[in-house]
Amino acid sequence: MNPNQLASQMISEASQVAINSWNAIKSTAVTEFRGLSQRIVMIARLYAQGEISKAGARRHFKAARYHVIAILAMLTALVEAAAAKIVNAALKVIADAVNAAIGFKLV
Amino acid sequence: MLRSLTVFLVVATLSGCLTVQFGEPYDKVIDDELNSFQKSTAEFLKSMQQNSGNAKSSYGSDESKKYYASSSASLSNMMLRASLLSDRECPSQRVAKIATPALTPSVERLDRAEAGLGISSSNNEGTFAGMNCSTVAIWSLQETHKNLEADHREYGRLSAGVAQLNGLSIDQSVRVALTTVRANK
Repeated sequence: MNPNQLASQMISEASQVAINSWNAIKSTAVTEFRGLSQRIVMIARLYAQGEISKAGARRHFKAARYHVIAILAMLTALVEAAAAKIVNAALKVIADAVNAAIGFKLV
Repeated sequence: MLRSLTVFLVVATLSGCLTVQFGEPYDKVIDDELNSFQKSTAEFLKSMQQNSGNAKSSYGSDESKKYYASSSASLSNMMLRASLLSDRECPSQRVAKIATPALTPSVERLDRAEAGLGISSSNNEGTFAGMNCSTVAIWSLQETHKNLEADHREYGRLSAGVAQLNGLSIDQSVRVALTTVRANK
């Protein structure tokens, strides 16, 4: 096993996983923040039209703030899952290299 | 540095660390329960609109009582299950720092909207301390659901606009909760 060659393979696999995961996370974040904007506009409109009370508007704004926290929790979970995928992609390269070097499936 | 990392990963692999996982494990029961909650809420809101103008759409109707009792119980159960998945607090503060540029416009829009209407929603951000990420997402859904019931109780009936706002809010919260729960699927 050549450590430099192994390292390049690991970086290549991990980079691909990182790019794919990052694009998915970015797209999810954009969707959720756009949705939140739509919600804020709707609360303001319903309050202005008198369909919801001041207390009602306050409740919905509060929930919108909680939603921002939930989006952050979601992004955290996605980032952690992406990090695990990146590490696992690198570990698979090593496992494949070890198995190929010894000629049978050890790891 | 790269060489040390490679050596570390080789040792980790040979030691049996073939896969790693961060965050909570996937829970299919919560996934199914979230789908079922979303479906029953959409059906309830539609029924309230179809029956608008008669007693069936009132907060005190049998259908309303049944829906709020069962949906609240379902959310409590999901919160309990999610809290048992991991006792590690969601490290979202670190992600908040990275996500600040994306987050700032939304928070500023909220601040401006509230200021424009002369409203200030109090900040209870400490209430999610100690929760794992899945629990935070379900807790936010629970708060959104409480709003639906509070609106229904306050106005007696759900107008088309109020039903639409609550439907949108609950759909968004369910989507965020599902994405969080499925992160490690």
